[in-house]
Amino acid sequence: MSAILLLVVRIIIAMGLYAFLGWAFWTLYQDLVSQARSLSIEALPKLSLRVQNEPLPRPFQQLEVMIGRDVGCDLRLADSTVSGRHAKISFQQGQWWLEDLNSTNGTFLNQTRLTEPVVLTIGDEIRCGQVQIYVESLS
Amino acid sequence: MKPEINVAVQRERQLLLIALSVVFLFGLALNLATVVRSGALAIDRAQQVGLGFLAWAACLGVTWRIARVAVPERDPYLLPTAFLLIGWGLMTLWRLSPYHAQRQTLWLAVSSLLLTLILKAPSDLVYLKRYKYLWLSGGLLLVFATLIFGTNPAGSGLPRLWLGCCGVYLQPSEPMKLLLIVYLAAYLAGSQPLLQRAIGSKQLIALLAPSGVMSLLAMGLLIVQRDLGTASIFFFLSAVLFYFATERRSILLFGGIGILMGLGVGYALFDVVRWRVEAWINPYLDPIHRSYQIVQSLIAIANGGLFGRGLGLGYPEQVPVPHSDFIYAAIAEETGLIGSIALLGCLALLALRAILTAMFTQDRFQRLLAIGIAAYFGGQSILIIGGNLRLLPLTGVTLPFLSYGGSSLMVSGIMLGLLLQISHSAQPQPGILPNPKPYLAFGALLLLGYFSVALASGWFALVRAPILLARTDNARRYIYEQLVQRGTIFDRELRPLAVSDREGQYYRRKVLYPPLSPLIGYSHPVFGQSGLERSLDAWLSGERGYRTSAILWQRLLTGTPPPGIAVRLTLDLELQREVDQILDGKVGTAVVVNARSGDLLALASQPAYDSNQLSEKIESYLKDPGAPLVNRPVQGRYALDQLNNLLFPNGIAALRFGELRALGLPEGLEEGAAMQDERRITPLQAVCAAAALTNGGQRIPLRVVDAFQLPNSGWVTVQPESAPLVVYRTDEVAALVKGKINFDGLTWSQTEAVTSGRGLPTVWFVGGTTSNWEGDPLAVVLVLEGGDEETARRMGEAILKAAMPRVD
Repeated sequence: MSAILLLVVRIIIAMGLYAFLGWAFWTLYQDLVSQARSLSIEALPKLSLRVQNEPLPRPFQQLEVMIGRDVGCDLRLADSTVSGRHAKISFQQGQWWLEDLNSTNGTFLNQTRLTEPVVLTIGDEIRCGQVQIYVESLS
Repeated sequence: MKPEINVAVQRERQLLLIALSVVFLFGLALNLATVVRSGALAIDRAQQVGLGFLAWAACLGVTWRIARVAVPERDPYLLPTAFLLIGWGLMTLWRLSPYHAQRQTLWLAVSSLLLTLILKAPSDLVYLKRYKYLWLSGGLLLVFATLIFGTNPAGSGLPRLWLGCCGVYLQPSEPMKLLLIVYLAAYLAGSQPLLQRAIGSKQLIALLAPSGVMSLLAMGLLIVQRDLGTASIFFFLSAVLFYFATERRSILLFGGIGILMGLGVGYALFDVVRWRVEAWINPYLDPIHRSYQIVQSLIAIANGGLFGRGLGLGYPEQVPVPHSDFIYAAIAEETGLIGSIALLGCLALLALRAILTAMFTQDRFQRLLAIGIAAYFGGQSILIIGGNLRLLPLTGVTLPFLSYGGSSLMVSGIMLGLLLQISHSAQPQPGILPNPKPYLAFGALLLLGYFSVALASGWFALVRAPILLARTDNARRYIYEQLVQRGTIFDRELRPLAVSDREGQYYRRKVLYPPLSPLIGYSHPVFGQSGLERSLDAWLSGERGYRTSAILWQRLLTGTPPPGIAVRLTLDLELQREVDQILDGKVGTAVVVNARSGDLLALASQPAYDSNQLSEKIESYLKDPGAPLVNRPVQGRYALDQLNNLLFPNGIAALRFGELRALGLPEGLEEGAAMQDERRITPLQAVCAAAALTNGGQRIPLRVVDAFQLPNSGWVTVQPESAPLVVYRTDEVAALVKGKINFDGLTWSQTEAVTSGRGLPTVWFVGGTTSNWEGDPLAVVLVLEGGDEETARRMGEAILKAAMPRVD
C-alpha cells in the first residue's frame, strides 16, 4: 500500500519537475513570439506624406509606397496629369528614396526634375504632374 | 527581451510554487520510502527531513523577499531554478547521509546570507571591478595557505585542499574560481577595446599576458596541490573569457590544443592523471581498484533505468562518496532517466539564462562576469556529470547547487546573487552586440554538452543496463537476497535443503544439510555464485517464473525483484544422509540414480565444504588437499580401464552425452556433460551409462531439478529436454551384465582400481539392479580416491541396499 502511495508521489514529482521546465520554456517561448512580433513591427520604417489641399498627412508603415492614378497604388492621386504608376518611394539602406517610373509629366523634387533616385528628407516637396506632396515626417 | 516587471514577478512566483511543491514531495517520498523499506516510519528521521525542508523554504522565502525589494527587475528564472536544484540536492543528501545534510542546511543559511548581501550591495558592482587585484591576490593567498596549513576533513593522507578550524572547513579553490572570473572580467573589460583593435598576434599576446600569467599562476598552484579538476575548470574559464574578450576563434583552437597538451603532460607526469585517463578509456580493466567508483557509478545509473528505483529505494551508497562527486549517479539511480533529464534541463536553463543576462547587459565588465558565471555553472556541471558517465575523465569537482560542499554552495550562492544583480540592471532590450558569434557558439557548446550527457545517461540506463547489472561486482543482487526471500531448495519429499530465513530486518541464506554444499553451492557477495545457487539463480532470485509485467511492477514499486521461486530437487535427503554416512571419512563420490525416471537420488562428494561457513573457512578450504570445494560427481574426471568394456561397449560416443541436458544438469553445470578425454569421465557420465544397462539398454536423460513452485500454478514439473535413446539391444545388455550378478540375484556390480601415473589409485564401483528386481531399476557409481577394491565393493553394495527400499 505504502509502495503504491510512494509510486504516486514519485509520478507527481516527475510531473512537477517537467511542469517546472515546461512552464519555464513555455513562457520563454511566449517571450520569443512577442519579441519577434514587436521587433518586426518596430523595424518597419514610418513615412507620412501630405497631398496638397488635404488637411491631414497620410501615414505609411511599409517598405515601398507606390504613387499614381491606378487603383493599386498606395498613394492614389486622381489627377489627369499623373500617370498610372507615376513614382515610387522605397526604404533602402536606412533611407527613403524617391524614384520616377517613366511618368509622362515627370516627377520633381524641390522643383528639380528627377533623372535618378534621390534621398528624401523632412520638408521636401515632391511634385507629380501638377500635384504637390509634402514629406511631413519620416524615420 | 526582458518581460515586463509584473509579468516577470508573476512567472517567478509560479515557478517558485512548483519548486516548493516538488521539494516538499521529495521529502514526503523519502519518508514513504522508509515505510516501504522497513515497514515503519522512522519518526526522528521524518522530523529531521521536515525541519530540513522548512529550513530550505525559509532560506528561499527570505532570499525572495529581499530580492523583490533589492532587484525588482531580476530575471524570473534564476531564483526558482537554483533553489529547485538546491532543494533537490538537499533532499538527496538527507537520503544519503543525514550528517552531511545537516551541515549542508547550515551552509545553505550562510550562502543565502551572502546572496542577500550581494543583492543589497551597490548594483554597479564597482567594488568588484576596482579591487580586482586585491580579490585575486587574496584568493591566491588562501590557496597558497593550503600548501602549508591544508587539511582534509575526510581524513589524513588524502589531498589537503581545505583550510579548517573548529569543525568548519573551507576549500579556497572554490572561491578562487569566482575571484578568477571577477579578475579576468575586470581586466579584459578594461582592455577589450584595445584587444579588438589589436592587429597581429604580438600585440594581442602583449595585452593578454598579465591576465594569462595570473591564470597560469592559479593553475600552477592547483597542479602542485594535485587538484586537477579545479585546474581544468580554471583553464576552461580563462579560455572562454579570453574568447569573449578578443572574439577570435583562434583562442578556442589554442584552448583545445592546450587541454590536449595538459592531458598529455599530466598523463606523463602524474599518476593520478594516468589512473584517471586509463579508468576513463577502459574502466573494466581494473574495476575493483582504480576504476571502482566509475564502474559502480555506471551500475547505479543502469539500475535506475527509465523510471528510477524510487527515492530512498535504490542503493546509491554502493558508489563511494555519493553525496559529493557522484551525486548525479545517486539521483539517476533513484529517479531514473526521467529524473536525470529533468535535472539536466534545469542546469541547461540556468546556464542559458546566464548567457542571456550577459547579452542584455550594456556594461562590458558585467557582461564578461555573467559569461564567466555561465561558464562556471555549465562547464563544471558537464565536467562532473560527464565524469560520472565515463564521457569525460573523472575529476573531483562538485555539481553546482547539488553536491555536498559548503565552499561550493557559498560560491554558487554568490554567483547567483551577482547574476540577479546583473539581470536587474540590464536593459529591457538586448544591448548592442557588435558580434553575436561568441554568444551563439558558447550557448551551442553548453547545450551540446548537456545533450551529450543526456544521451550517455540514456545509453547506460537503457541500452547497456542488462550487461552492467549482470556484472558480478554489482552488489545489488546480494542486497536483494537480504531484502527479498530467496527461493527455498527442497528435496523430493519437500524437506528443505537450503532456505532464506529472516533474522531481524534481513534474510540470511542457510544450507540446512551442509554436506550437500558442493551441489547446492553458494551465492556470496565476495566469492560470487556456484552450484545450483548459480545455475538456478534466475528462479531463486525471482527474475524468472513470474509474468514479465509482474516483475516490472514489483521493481517499479519497491525497487526489488519479487520473492524467489522455490525449487524441488529429485534428491532424497534420507538416502543422501545414508550415502554420506557410508562415505564418511573417505575421499570420493557416490551417485545413485533411478534408472527408469532418470531422477538423481543422491549425489555425495566427500570431503564437502560448508556453504554456511564459507566466509570464515575459505582459506582452509582452498588449502585442503581433499579439495572440498570440488563437486566431484560433476567436476571430477576419473580414469577407467576394464570398466570401459562394460559401460561403453559400443564406444563412449554411442551415449551422446553432448546432447542437450542428457545429464540433467541445469544451465551452468554443463561442464559435467562435455566430453574432453575418453579415458577420463565424470561419475555422472558413468552413472548414466550404468543406468542404461540397468534399464534394458535405454539411456534416460538424468534429472536433478524436479519442479518449480510457480506463483499461480503451484508445482510445475520440469520435463527432460532430450528424449530417451536406445543405446544397447536387450540381449547385448544381458551378455554384458551376466557374470557380474551377485549371489542375491537382484544386483550386479563391478569394481576396478586404476593406477594412473602418479598419486593414489582411483577405485571404481559400478552397480545396479537386475531384471529380477521388482521395484524401479537403480544404478550406483562410487569412486574412491585411494583405497582398495574390497572397500569400494562393500561400500557400493551398502549404498545399493540402502537405496533399493526407496524405489520399492
